[in-house]
Amino acid sequence: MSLPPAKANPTKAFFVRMITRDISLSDCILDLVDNSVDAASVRLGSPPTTLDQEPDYSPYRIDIEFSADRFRVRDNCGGISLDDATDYAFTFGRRDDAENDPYSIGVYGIGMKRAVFKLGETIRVHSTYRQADGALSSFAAPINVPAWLAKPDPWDFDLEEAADLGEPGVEIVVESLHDGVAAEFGNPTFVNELAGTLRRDYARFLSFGLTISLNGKALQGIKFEILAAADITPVRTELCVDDVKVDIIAGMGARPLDDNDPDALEGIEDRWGWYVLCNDRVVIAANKSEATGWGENGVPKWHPQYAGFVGLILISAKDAVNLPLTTTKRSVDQSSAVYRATMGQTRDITKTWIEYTNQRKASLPEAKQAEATATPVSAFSLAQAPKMILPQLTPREHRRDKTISYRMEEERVRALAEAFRQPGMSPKEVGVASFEFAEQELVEDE
Amino acid sequence: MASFDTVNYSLRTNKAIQRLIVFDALAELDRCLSLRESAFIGLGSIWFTDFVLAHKRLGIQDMLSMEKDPIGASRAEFNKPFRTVRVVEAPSSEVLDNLHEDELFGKKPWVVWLDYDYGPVASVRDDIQRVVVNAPPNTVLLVTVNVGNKGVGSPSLREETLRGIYGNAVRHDAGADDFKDDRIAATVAEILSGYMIDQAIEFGRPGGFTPAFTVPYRDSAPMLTVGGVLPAKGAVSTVRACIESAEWPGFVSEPLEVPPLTAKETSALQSLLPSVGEVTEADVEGLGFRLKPEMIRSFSHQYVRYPTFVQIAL
Repeated sequence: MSLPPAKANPTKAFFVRMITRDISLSDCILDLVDNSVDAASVRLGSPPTTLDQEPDYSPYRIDIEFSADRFRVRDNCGGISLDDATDYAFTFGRRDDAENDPYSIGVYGIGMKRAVFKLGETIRVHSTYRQADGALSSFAAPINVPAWLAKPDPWDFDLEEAADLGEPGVEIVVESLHDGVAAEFGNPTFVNELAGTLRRDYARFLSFGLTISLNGKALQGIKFEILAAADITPVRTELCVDDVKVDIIAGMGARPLDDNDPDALEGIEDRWGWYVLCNDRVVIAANKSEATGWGENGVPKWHPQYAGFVGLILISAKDAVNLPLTTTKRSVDQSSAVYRATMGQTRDITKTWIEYTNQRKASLPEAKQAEATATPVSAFSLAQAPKMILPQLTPREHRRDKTISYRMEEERVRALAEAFRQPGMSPKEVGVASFEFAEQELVEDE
Repeated sequence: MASFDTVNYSLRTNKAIQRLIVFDALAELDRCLSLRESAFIGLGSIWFTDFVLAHKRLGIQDMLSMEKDPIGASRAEFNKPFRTVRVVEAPSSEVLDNLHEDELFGKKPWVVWLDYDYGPVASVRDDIQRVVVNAPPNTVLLVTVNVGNKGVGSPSLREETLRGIYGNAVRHDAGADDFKDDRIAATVAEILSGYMIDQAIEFGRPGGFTPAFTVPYRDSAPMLTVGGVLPAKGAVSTVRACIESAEWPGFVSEPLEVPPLTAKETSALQSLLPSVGEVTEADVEGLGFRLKPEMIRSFSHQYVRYPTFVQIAL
């Protein structure tokens, strides 16, 4: 006797209420930006995301605006055609017959839906696109989430005719924001954090002329720079795994700290570690964990002594399915063959840096002298160099340091910081400055 | 040396005006939050000026003054103006960590005024966080800090220092100009308000934080009072309506910089007010003396709160 099959269909509520929990609010917004960037890339002929390419993104812009009441993203990157909308753009997960655009960032076909569901309950996706005859055409998908959830199958969204946006592009408006989202959108700290993330994660595209504005202000991409001098050369090497190309660039992003205490890093912008870019979009930033090899396979765990190191792993794949991306694009699939092969290359680079900082402790004046002539150069314009070259320091016996530690009333520490005319000094800095002051006053020069 | 050893806070002109602005605003807020049921928490020093106003203007009964200096605490205990003022000899960090567990103070909203005479250093940030985490719903939080060189360092160091302490609460596109003397008060106000909003979200306060006070003023140093309300979720709209009304006095755009004036000058200036148009330098010269335009403007805006000090022999 044959038994009836066990039902395994997904539910709408699962997609609306569960998958939205696996991604941060910032990363949802970045998913929408990714779609716009991918659309602009298609308009440019899908240029490879390799270091020898400098596509001109200057005609394209992505404007993000939000308040506690409303979210809106609008681009002029070409729009979604009606055919794509009916067949592909709104499906939950990429259909088997849908091909990724070459060198795209989007892979899974989930980003837009997850993002808008994460944001709120009244959604309108509005697209204007150019038809084959050159004329503009537009449509909109208004989505009332509670009504859509209450409706039995099918899962389709209704489309309706809409006015043209003025130029080909997409506008997504979300209202009836969820409480937590509305609170964050009214939080200036969230705005600043998101701005920093956009400036970093789309730095390559911004450097190619793309405009991304946040609440009316155009953002400047951060510059990835590495120090170079006669005896300081960043490494730039590459490998290919099947159809995936990986460029690895690493070196001295800044001179290491003279002080190895973890407290010394407090208040300093944390930009050291490994970065991973997939088709030019940063997915891992300033990483110091096992995900980029720290603390694994003979590489020590991260320590503040290693501050100053910057490493970039640029992974480029024509078919984004081959990128080691996770669905949130905030991590990598460490089991992928391409990523494993990459980690095999980065291990020695990380160890070279660690060894240099060990030597540097023992030969600090010599190291500082050697580093003094180094100047920043763009990490993306470096020539190929198979090894990271750092100053060759004369081996010395390790300087014998002693730790002085004492407790002092907070008010007195603060008053002394003010007396040093630097009220923002950390207690540790006050301690060091006090020692140096006393030494200068009381210890005779040799 | 504690600042109360050198300064009688009740006699500073702009400090006094700032205090009256804050209490005028609290009186407005009292209409929707019934502040008389709150407890007043402050750094009372030995003068207790705020405590007297809290009791007499707002009807607040239960008050607590934090004083970490043993001699200061002993003098505060001696000088406390009402039986219901409790003086606690402990640093603010310790008090604010535990006050929510207190049988009396843990059960009612607070009006907490952290009136520091130093800058927005890390310990100030941490005290703000303690209040945001621990304060009962419908608490009013006020913080006063020094925004001069002594408080925030020299202009070239300010951005790095403040970004180090407050992180993303510093505007992402803030530049060197925002940390210069003429803009630093507005910048610090934005940072502290942003930090309070962020912490209220971070620690899941259902009503969030509603900014309600920005009062820059100048005594011997440029100072700034920033604050707002940590409302219960059900009180958010009422509090916002109160603060967004045109009469809300808690937001002052230009630093209070009224000069100390003689009784004769005060009286003469008052004779020109209220005025439909701005009182001009020529108007004042017509009275027989001269003042800077910003001083005239500040006095014109605040003359109803301008204090008159007299010396009496006891």
